[in-house]
Amino acid sequence: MYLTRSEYDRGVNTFSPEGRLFQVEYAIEAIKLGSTAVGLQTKSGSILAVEKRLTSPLLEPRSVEKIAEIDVHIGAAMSGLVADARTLVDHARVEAQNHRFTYDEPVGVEALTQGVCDLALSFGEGADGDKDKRMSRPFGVALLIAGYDDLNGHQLFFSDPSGTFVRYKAKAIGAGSEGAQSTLSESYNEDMTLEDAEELALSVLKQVMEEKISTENVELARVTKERGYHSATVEEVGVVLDRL
Amino acid sequence: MVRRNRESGGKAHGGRIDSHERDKAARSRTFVASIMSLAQLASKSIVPPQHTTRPHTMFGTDLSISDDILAIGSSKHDASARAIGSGCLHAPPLNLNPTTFDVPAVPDPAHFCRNNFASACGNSDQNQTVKFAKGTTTLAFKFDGGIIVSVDSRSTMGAYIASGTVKKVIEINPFLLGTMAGGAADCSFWERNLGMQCRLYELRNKKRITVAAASKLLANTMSSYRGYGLSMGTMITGWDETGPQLYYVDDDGTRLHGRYFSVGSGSTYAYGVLDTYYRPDLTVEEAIDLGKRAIYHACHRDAMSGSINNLYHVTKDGWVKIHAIDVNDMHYEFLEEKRNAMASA
Repeated sequence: MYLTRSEYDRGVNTFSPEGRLFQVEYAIEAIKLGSTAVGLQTKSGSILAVEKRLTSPLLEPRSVEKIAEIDVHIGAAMSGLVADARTLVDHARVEAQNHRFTYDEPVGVEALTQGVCDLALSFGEGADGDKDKRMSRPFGVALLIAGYDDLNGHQLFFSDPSGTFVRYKAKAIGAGSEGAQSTLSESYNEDMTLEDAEELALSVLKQVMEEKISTENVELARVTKERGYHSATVEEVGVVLDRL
Repeated sequence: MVRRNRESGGKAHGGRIDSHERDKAARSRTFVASIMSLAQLASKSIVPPQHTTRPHTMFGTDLSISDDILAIGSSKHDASARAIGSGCLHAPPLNLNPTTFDVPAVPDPAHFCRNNFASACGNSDQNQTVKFAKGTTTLAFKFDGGIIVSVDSRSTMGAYIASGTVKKVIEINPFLLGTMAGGAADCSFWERNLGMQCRLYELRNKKRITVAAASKLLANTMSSYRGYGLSMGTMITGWDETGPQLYYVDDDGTRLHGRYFSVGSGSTYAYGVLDTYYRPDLTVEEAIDLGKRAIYHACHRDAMSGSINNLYHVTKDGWVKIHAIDVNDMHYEFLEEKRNAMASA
């Protein structure tokens, strides 16, 4: 397989004769190695849930953070190379604050996602020795961006290393995404409550996770109109797990 | 462009304080119109013959804001501005980045500002094109019950009162307040910018910024633009994990920690009242009354201060706005009080 691709997968900006960018495709492969993340949008809010892989019992579970607050009204869940995601998240935070400063209003969820994707797509730009040199390779991470704005209400966006973003009602990314996505297609409906969505998100994770699900190895966050982004505490996760 | 500046400069001039005001202690500012000419000048002169802003500073492409603040006007900025064709394929960018602003497109922007704007840094009347005339009274003090921030609301351009309803207390976030003295635009711009930096600090570190750190951010910004003609004398106050804190920060980059400060042309009058009646063990009611009276006396004697007294109280739960009272009403209230006291004596 790699023999036929050789030569055209060296440069990030070199198309193959079939019109493909292999480095971008490899970056998308990198996400499939990441832990599973699930996002759901309902009429009363959005849910983000992520599996935490605790590779050692000595690992401090709270130090693994895979859902980040972008601004009061937006959160992002990540899967893939988490270090790359940090760059994107920080960029998103700066973008959100810049928008508030310039326009004195919260940034729209789609505009914010577009801003993140602009950076995701800018790999390979900039000359050597340029102090503002960007990332020399695609970001090996996918994001689920959930948020609320007055114009379009609750929204959930999925962005990948190619800089593409798509709006979803429910989306799973990461290692268990195939199984998770098919469960979501079966069980999701637009009129479900936020509590139903929470339960569905965690039951999907429960299904695809290798370890037994617990309050330690999942992360859960909600975005509602009233409370904005809210990361669930261990107790709050426990309450939802008890309902399963 | 030059003519336009002369016109507005002429209007701003004719104020009574231009020729003799430069005393740091009697810092006296808050103007509205003169800053417009500065903005016009900046926007006119910036149409770049070459890249005058850094390549890749298009909106949203910067990863770090601290980089940008320190880059402008520095050798780093100049070097990248000179490096034309350094792989930048974008059109010369429109500067939409709110953490920086364009400086005049001349070889030495700082020198240009010093020669054309009479504002900060003791470069008073040297026949500059644009002169700023301004006046205000602001004060803040710490006491056992928290912090009181009390200000007037008059904005002047020389002898002309441009506004009587200026909000000189800038609500940076629910726990931080800044005051406005000097250039109204400079204060509100950089204190909003400070608010943005504080919010990013919160998101990155998952805790509120201390007042010490926030005031240092502002002082660092002022230092990096030293000599460019910014005009700002502010008090940054708030409640953090170390308790109530109060700092004075100005356009020189000065940053002072203290129990009480007053800034503006009326500050000497306010200091007179504060020095006489301030005690750390004031009750909240007494403290509010002191803040109110200090501003009243400053507004009474200082022509460049007046209109409304806005007063805020900072506690461990954040700031609360206590009142907005017309100093004219206060005058008759205190007159009545004085008469009654004399009658009973």
